[in-house]
Parts: sequence; C-alpha cells; structure tokens
Amino acid sequence: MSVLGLLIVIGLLLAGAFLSAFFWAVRSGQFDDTITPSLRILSDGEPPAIHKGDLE
Amino acid sequence: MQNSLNQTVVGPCCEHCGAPSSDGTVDARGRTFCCLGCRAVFELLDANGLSYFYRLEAHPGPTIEAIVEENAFTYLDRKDISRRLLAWQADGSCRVTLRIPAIHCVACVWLLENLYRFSPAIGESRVVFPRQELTVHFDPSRLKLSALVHQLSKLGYPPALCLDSLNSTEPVASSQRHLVQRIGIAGFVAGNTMLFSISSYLGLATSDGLARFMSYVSLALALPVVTYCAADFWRAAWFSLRGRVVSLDVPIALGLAALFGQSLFEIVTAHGGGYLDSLSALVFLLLIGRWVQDRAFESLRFDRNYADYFPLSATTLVDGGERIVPLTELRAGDRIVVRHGELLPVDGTLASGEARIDYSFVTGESDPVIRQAGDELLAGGRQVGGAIEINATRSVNSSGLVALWNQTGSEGDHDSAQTLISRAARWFTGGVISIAVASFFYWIIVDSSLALRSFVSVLIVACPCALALAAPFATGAARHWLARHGLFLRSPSVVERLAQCVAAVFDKTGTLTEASASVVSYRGKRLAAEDSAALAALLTGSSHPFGLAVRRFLGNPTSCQITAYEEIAGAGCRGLVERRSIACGSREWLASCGTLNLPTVDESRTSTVHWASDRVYRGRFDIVAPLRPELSQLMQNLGRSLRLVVTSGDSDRDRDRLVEALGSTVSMSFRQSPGDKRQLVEELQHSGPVMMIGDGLNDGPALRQSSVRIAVAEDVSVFAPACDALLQARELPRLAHHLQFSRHVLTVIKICFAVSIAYNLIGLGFAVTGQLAPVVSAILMPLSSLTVVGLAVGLTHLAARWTLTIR
Repeated sequence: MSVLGLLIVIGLLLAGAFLSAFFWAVRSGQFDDTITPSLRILSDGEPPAIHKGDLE
Repeated sequence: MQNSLNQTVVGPCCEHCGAPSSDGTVDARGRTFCCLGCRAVFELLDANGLSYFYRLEAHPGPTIEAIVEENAFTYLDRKDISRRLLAWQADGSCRVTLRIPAIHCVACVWLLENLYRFSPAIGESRVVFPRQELTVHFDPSRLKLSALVHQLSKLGYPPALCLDSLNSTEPVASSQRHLVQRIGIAGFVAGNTMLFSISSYLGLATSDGLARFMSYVSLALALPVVTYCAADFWRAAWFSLRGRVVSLDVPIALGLAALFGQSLFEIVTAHGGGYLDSLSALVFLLLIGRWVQDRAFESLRFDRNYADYFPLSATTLVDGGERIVPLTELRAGDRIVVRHGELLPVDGTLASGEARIDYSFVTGESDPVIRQAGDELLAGGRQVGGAIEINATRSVNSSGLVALWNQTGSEGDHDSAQTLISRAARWFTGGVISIAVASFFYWIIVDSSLALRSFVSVLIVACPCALALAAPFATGAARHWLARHGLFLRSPSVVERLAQCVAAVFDKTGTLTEASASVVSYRGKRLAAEDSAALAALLTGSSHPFGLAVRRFLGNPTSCQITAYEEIAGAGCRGLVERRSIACGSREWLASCGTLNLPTVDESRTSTVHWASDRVYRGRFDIVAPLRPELSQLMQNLGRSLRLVVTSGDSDRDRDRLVEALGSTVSMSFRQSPGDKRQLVEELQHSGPVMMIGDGLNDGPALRQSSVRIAVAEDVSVFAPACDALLQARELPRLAHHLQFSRHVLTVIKICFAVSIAYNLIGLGFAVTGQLAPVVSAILMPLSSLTVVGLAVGLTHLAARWTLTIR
C-alpha cells in the first residue's frame, strides 16, 4: 500500500505545478481583462502591408 | 405652412464614420465623407498603411466633431502635470494610461494598438476594452505628451482629460487578482482533499498509517484556505461583531471555525478524518458567489464628482496673450477666457462680454442666466454664446460650488440600510446559537460525552453557506439581466432597494423631454429654396443651440456666400446674402434691426426664433424639446404600484402638454428650486423609499436625498454622474418592467432562503442527535449550496423571461 503514498506525493507535485502556473497567469495579468484579447484575435489576419492608394 | 424635422436619412454615407454625407466632400476616387475631418483621418490612415482599419468593420471611425488645434494640449507638457500622468520606465521611455470614451469596436482596438506606425517614438500600445483605456509606451525625448494626445484627438479618439485624471493612480486590478487567486487555491484544495476523503466516505478499511498520512496532507492543504482564502470572511465577521451588527458573516465564520476546529481535533487525536473537504468546498463556493456578485461594468462609473466634469486647464490672459494653465494653478486675480460651451472653472466677476450661463448642471434650470459686466459669476455654469472674460475671485477648490460638492461628497451609504439579508442574518444567527446551546445542555443530561460534539455539529451544519449564496447569485444574475435591458446598477444591493420603492420622482428636463432632438416647426411666409439657402448660410456661423436646431431643420440647401456677418450672442445674427440683408434671432433683435410689421407672438409656451429679409418680417421657427415616446404607458404601468411626481425648475409652460402625455395620475410641480425638490423627496420618504429619475447632473440635493438614484443617459459609457443606476434613455419606457423584475428577484431570494433553511433543518436533525458523519456533511453541504445556486440563477432567469422580454 505504500505505493499509494508515493502516488499521492507525485499527484500533489503535479497539481502544485499547475497551481503555480495558475499563479503566474494571475500575476501576469491574464485574468485582468478577458474581453480585449477576444477582440484582438479578430484582427490577426492582417495582410502584410497596405500602402498608400491600395484601398479600393 | 408647417413641417417638422424628419431625421431619416437616405443617401451616401461617410466612408469613415457612416454619417450621412450628402453635403460632405468627395475625394478623387469618388469616396464620400461627411466632413473634412473624417476625410483627413481617412487620408492619414491610408498614408500610414493603416487602411486595414476599414476592412475590420464598416465605417468604424468615430465622427470627428471638431478640428483640434495643434497647441491645444501644450499644458500637458508642464512638469507638474506630466509628472502625475506619466509613469517612467527604466529605459527612459514612459507609459501613459488614458481613458478614451470613443473606443467602441474591433477596429478601434486594432488602430490604437498600431499607433507605433505613426511615429518611431511610439512603442507598444495596449487597449483595455472594458475600461475604455489605452496604455501607450513612448519616448518623451522624441515625442511630447501633448503631441501624442493631439495625434489621438486628430484620429477621433480624444482622451477624456479632466481634473480627476491627475488623481488616478495605477489601475486597481489587484483586488480582483486576489479574488481570482483565492478561488483558484480553494478549488485546488477542495478537489484534492475530496480525493483523499473518498476512502473515508466509502468506509473502506485503509491501512491506519496511510489514512493518517492523508489526513495530515489534507490539514496542510487546508491551512492556506483557512488563513488566506477565507480571510475576508474572518475580517467581515470581526468588523460586524465590533460594530455590534449581526451580519451573515458571523454565522459563516462561526461555521468555518467549528469545521476547522473539529477537523483539527479529530486529526490530531486520530479520531477520524475531519471535514476539511467540506470546509474547502464551502469556501470555494462562497468565493465564487462573491466573484459573481462583484463582476462590474468597468467602463461605467457611478461615483463621479466635480473633478470628472471640470477640464484640466483653463485659458488665461497674461500681458495680452493667451496662455493655457492647469486648473489647479488658477489664483484669485487671474483673468480667464471662457468660450462657448466651456465650463466656468472658478468663481469670478465678469470683466467683458455678455455672459449667458447655463446653470442646469447646478440648479436644474434649463434657461440660461444673463449677466452683465461687473456681475458675480459662480463656478459650474456653462457659457452659451460668445467668449467672455472673467476675473477670478477664488481658486478652484474654494469656489462655492466645489465647496458645496466636497461637503456633501461623503454621502450616507445606502447599503447599510435594513436589507432583507441583514434581517435574515440576525434571525438566523440567533436561532442557530440557541439550538446549539439547547442541544449541548440536552446531551449533558443524557450523555455528556456527546455534548460538545453535537454543539460543534450544529454550528457546522448551520453554516449559512446556502443562505449566503442565494443573494449574491440572484442579485448578480439580476444585475446582468437588467444591464442587458439597459439598466446598469451600481451594486447588486440596488436590486432590493429598487423593489421596495413606493414613490418615483421624475425630473422633467432631459429626462421626460429629449433636449438633443428638438422639434422645429415653421410658421410664416413660405420658405423658398433661396430663403432656406440664405438662412442656412447665415446660421452656419451661429453657435447658439436654437440657431443649430433651425440650421438642422433647414436640411442641406445649396450653399451661398455671406458677407457683413454679425452675431450678438444670445440675441441673433444678421448678414448679407446675395444682396439681401437677412436677420434671424429673438423678437427684440429683429426690432433692433429695424424690422417692419413685427407681430406680437405668445412665446410663453415655446422657444421662438424669428427671421426677416430686407427688414420685412417673414416668419418664425418654434422650437420644442419633444417628450420621450411611450411615456403614458410607462406612467400607467408605474402608477399601479408607485406614487408618481414630476418636478421641474422650469416655468409651467409645459404643463398642458405633460398632463396630456402622462395622464392625470401624475402630480406635477413647477418652478421648484433644488431645495424644494429635496424637501419633496423627503416628504415622500415618510411612506417608504423613494426613487428619483433624473439626468443625474441637475438636482444634486434631491438625488442625494432619495433612496435610489437613477440617471437617464443617451450614452451610458460617456456619461456617468453620481447615481445608483444608469438607465439608457431608449429603455426609459420600460422602467416599469425593470421594477417588476426586481420585485420578482426579491421573491426568488426569499424562496432560496426557504429552501436553504429546509436543508439546514435536515442537517440539524443529524447534528442534534450527534450523528453527523463526514460523508453526510460531504454530501449535504455542497448539495444544499448547489441547489440554492441553481435555484437562484434559474428562477432569476425565468423571472427575466417573464417580465423583461415582454415588449
């Protein structure tokens, strides 16, 4: 049964890694604004460059 | 002959902003623009390789309202101002965060995040859409702040620069971050401890050592939940105990403490596994409830003060030259120039020019006040007409209006009022503690070994988690339903106050009437095409609101040349158009121009503009601010449950029109001073809470007196005065539905309370008999919380379907 103890430790370490990834995400402001990124992605397909007079 | 203004537009629209452009300009490729400003922006974007802007949305540009002068923002470069606006970075660049109300679509975000293409001095720029904020990194040695702001204004995105911008510090995102972090930790711990507890739920015989190991791991995991995640509950309970108020936080804290204490005791003495899974699940759910409740409308602000309305700077006259100085530096004795549409920033005496000051901002009276040179002027009014010069007699902060504002700034917090929840909390806490004590003494007599256990069990089971979740989820959901239907609430508790109102006071100007859409009707000699053209040419130079209304009414006649133009602010204007002398303005103005056959007209009911050609009277334009549509239906619906009162600072010339439109159930009072209105609200409050519906700017005292302050606005994101709720003007006719909905929400909360108390009684049955097994607690507590959350959200949704979606 002692293998269960080992598994618990490994499981906690793994979960702890995800928790710290979550902390990093919160601290770097990824949860501050959840609306703008969804708008930003809409304009990602910008053609390389449009120069003067290209617009029709 | 009579016709009225018709605003429907068919025809070409502006390539940039989508406004009708039939009288605008056309460029070489046949693209039409409503004005030169829009065309300039279009060409600027095209030249900088940014024409992708126009592919993201059709006509995405904000209408260019006025061409901004190059030097309009030079005051921003002064050290004392820029120091407070800029944040310096390590590499010598700086960062500035500006609020830009014009941000409204995907294309705006894209354009503003591509600002770097305009100048090599601009680095990264980021938009925070819900707050309508733009953060720009730039190199101040190569690009001045004033130039950056000017560039933005030229593009049609002028930043909202007001006195308050100076006080703003870093965005307060940290409290939201803390909450998200707490939810994350509590969820993590709840999930893991539940996994560890499965064996004890199922009663599986695990080896003793492993079970103890798991319970110690759970204990270690639960520590941050109790100390960090639940910190707000401890604090709130402590504050309410110290203030001798019983809030729902007290039984929550009591329950959490009992849960943790019992678990700690069981684990340390090896009696069992404790209830740490229930504890962390409860905290997790409670925090989610808080998050649901606090999701705010970030672009709206409900607590503006004078600093949000006052500009950052004023124009002063120094040695004959104009200088723009920050408002905070104005001193008594300075000479200030105030132009048409500008706010008087300080108290002063009028030095030259004729002042026509619109004090509707302060007093509610919509007719401008006329003052002559030498008269005293109070800060806070808006000059209408030509430019005036003022000698300041006080600085900004000691000016009468501002002092008044500061005095009443810390108004009473309505939230502390007797609410349903606080009443329930007092009742509940009393009940729980008496049951716990009663069962303690019962077991002392019967079997003293079970006494302490049953006492703690009662506290554990009675943790009013479900009760505490009902209100946040119901009011949080209600707030979002109301927002979807045009009513934005400052805080969730407004729902409850809204439902309890017994009377509603309406302000007339700007609330029931629609000031921006004046209806003009013409009476007199027929307006031939050349008459319209001549009048339009004459009025194009006028800045008076009546002149603008008539100009709109005339439509887009052919343009013609005008010479010898002369305007007397507030009286009228005249000029020579194609060898005809045209005069337009008040009756007195026409008389002073020597007009013949001037008729006497009853002007007590409408505002009137007359005109004459070659001194011969031709006709008059009657200008009426129209009442908003569907008011009679609204009043009828509201009248079923509320007393209705309409007040106005104006004369009673609109009385007949209002009675006709609103019905006779509404009582009306005219010529009310702000003090009278306040008194009116106070009298109505003897019978219960009173809501006041106004434009939010006028009638400060009456608004502050009322229980629920609703401001009606055409554009809620630009305009946000001190109020409890913002109502979109087009949704005003449906206010009765909003009220009905808020009453339903109150019923929903009561139902949820009943359900959660029923659950508590079942749990108490286990607890007082001393049989609360961990598995019972692990099932019962989350189940009760989840049912109550489901009920609160589901029933609110149903209520919204029933009441709000009815057209």
